[in-house]
Amino acid sequence: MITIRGLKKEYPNITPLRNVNAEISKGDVISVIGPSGTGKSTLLRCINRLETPTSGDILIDGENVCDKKADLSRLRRKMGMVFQSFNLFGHMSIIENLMCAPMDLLGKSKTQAYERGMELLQTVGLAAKADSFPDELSGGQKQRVAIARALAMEPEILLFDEPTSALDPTMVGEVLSVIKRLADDGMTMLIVTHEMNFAKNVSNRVFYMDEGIIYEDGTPQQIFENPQNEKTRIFIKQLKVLSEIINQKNFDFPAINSRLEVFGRRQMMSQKQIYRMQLVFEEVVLQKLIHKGSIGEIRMDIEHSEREGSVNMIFEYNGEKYDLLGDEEELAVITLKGIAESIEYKYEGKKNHLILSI
Amino acid sequence: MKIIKKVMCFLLPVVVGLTLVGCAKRITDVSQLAGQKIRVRTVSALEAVTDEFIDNAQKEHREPFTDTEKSEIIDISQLNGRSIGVITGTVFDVMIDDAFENVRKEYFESYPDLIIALKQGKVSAFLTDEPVARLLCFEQDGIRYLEKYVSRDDYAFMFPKTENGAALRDCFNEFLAEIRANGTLNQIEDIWFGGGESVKNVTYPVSPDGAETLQFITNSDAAPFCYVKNEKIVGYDIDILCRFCEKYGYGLEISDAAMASLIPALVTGKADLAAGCIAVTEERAESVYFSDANYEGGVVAVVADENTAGDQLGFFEGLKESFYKNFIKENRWKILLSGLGITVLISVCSGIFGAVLGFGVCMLRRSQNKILGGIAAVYIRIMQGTPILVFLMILYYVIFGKSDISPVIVAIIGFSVNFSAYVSEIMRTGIEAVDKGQNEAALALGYTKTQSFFKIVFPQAARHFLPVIKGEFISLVKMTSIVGYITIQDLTKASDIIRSRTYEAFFPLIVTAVIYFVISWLLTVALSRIEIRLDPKKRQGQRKAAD
Ligand SMILES: Nc1ncnc2c1ncn2[C@@H]1O[C@H](COP(=O)(O)OP(=O)(O)O)[C@@H](O)[C@H]1O
Ligand SMILES: [Mg+2]
Repeated sequence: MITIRGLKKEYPNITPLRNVNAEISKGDVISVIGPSGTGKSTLLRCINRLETPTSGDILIDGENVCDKKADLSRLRRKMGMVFQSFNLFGHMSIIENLMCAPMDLLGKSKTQAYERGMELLQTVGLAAKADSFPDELSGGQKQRVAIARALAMEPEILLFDEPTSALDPTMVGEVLSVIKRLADDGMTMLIVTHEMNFAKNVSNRVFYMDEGIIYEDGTPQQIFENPQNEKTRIFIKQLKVLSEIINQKNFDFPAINSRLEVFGRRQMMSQKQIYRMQLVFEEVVLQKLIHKGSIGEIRMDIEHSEREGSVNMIFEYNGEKYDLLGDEEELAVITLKGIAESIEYKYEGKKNHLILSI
Repeated sequence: MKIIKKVMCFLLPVVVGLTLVGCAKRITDVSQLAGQKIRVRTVSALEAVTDEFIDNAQKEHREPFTDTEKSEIIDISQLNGRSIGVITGTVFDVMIDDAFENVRKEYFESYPDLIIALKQGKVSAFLTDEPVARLLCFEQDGIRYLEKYVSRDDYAFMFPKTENGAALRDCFNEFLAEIRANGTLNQIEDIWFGGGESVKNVTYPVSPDGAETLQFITNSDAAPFCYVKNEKIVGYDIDILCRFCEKYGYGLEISDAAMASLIPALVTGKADLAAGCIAVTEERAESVYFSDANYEGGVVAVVADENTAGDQLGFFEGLKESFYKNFIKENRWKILLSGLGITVLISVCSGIFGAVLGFGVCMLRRSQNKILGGIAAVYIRIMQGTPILVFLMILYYVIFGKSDISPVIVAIIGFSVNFSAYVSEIMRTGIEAVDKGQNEAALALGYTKTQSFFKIVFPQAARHFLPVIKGEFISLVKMTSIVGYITIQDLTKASDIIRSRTYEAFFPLIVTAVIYFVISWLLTVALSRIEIRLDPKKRQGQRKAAD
């Protein structure tokens, strides 16, 4: 239904979309996720041509939106758009918001438009507010009206740009449930969202956007449970990362120790967790690896997942296979085993990998 | 004080000498005006100066008058060193310099203002032509004039310095000579300079079809030469003119303007001839042709008269009398009414055209095209930076100088253009205040840019900018009070006309102010209705209230 090929969008000092390619079929419910500023909104706005792409093609039912001669107003009628900031028309009542475009653009009669409008308000549960004005509604209600307004044009696809980001947490649910119902009814939708659970449960596909491209495209299972790319994984797990490289014997131990402390504080870790992290670092690097000598470069990555409250410490070092946990009698090993919930060791590509979860 | 007098005694001969030299030069100038009968008034000014000199010399030996403010003025020489009122653009301005020493000149726009200033002691005297002075003092308590002429003067009609102007002047001179010879001129003089109001009437010429119509411009603030009575411009000069037109088969169209506008109107071809107690001066003769004198008189000084001042009537009686005089007598209220009509016409038309034009300018200003936007920006800058009065005069005397377009239309054009500059900026601010998301939502629904603008953005902008435009419009209404400068009789001019007949400030000014207030208020109410129609909530509220 929509084919995007080599889409590029440049602004004078930033290029949010470098090369986007995608195929969207009828009935797809696609969640678009990714860090902010990676061009998710820009992608949506290019699809309905609120922005003019620098280059590339967007085909809607075979018709190229990027064509200079394209009848934008007709193409846009096929696509409904729901904005983060609702954008209801402030000078019209709710029902007028739903009636104006069908009457002006689809040639519906006033009665037809009114009846369809009321029907849609019924489905979003706001029929009672028909005669109110936008500024008399709560955020969640406004967004439901905005969805109904988009639906009033009988679009083939709905584009949502962070529909719940401007809402109080208490109102997110009512909007998401409306969207979910649309998904169940088979509506084709492209939803930019930060609601990971919603993305996981409602969509059949997920786009992870980063670095100006669709970095990873897959089913929710693939993206959420088994992301193929490191960046995707960090984003999905909402990991915060600290990396340190140690490449000489007399490295600045106190400096790294204090950076660990700062990182831990910033991540709101408990003092105990920070202490454990420092302890693992000292035992592994100082007691075992440096002590053994001639190790070369040691890389330490610390990943903190806020959601799961877990801290993973990953050590990577060169040289021949060396499982430093081999000597079970040693005090350092006993200490490490006491602290870590799980320890994993592997030797891959001439590199030792040691992963400790604490 | 004595020292000053002595210094003056030394200086005076020098001044007199210089004046004489000046006169000699002027006389040669004037002599070049062939065929014109001009007596040079500076000679009499010189007489005055010499008299004064002698007076002062004599007073040297007496007690010098101590408190000049209090002592009664009996001779023009006593005016030296005081402040004297003068109407802007009149010959009296230069005359004061010639005739008096050391005086401070205060400038006024009309006789009523002068008389009020005189009574209130803001000026000690003002100069005017003897016939005018006679009439003023007859009608007004509390003022009198000094019998002695400050200078002698001739009064005549003015014509543009063109071939046509010269021809018309010659024709007019012929006519003057004729009526002087057969005694008609004397009769006319008796009518207008005497006391009986009932005989003071003119019949405007009815010209046969196809006859040429003379464009005559005057200043109606010059009774008995030229003034408004029963909403009609009448007077000595007008009477002569009407008879002239009748005799030579001309139609006549009269417009009324400020004194200072008469010569510009002739020079730019707006008018074929002008009159209204206009003294012949060499300065004016440089710009226009003068006819032979149709009245010979002189200039006198009008001063306050403590003896006749003071109200004999009680307060309410006085008010009643004053009200009658200002509004009922000679149907003066009708002048106000027609003035009001003109003010409303100019305001409403300028408001509507200005708003439409302003919208257009606003569209240009917002256009993607840099050149069009730039033009609009420059237009706005220029209009906002030009005083509206100056702009109106430029329109009337320069841009439309050669065409005989109605001054009311010129005023409407001027105010529309001026108003449009403000409206466009107000609209632009209003439009820019509408959230960009509104436009995007409309586009996303499938509206075109134009549809989105008119259906979604503009109505919301209107709610922001209408209250501001309403205020701007009210100030436009008040600003129209300057159209008198381009010969339009609007409300303000109407009240000026009444004041020039009654010489009272209170009623005409207060009533005019009240009328302006009422117009503004009514227009505000009307605009508020539009505002309510644009505000869906208030509209709905009204609908609900009606149900
Ligand atoms: N009109 C614009 N002009 C210049 N830069 C823009 C414009 N719109 C967006 N950007 C930039 O493009 C990048 C991507 O923006 P956006 O698509 O809104 O990101 P996302 O929706 O993924 O957070 C951002 O860095 C943003 O600052
Ligand atoms: Mg965004």
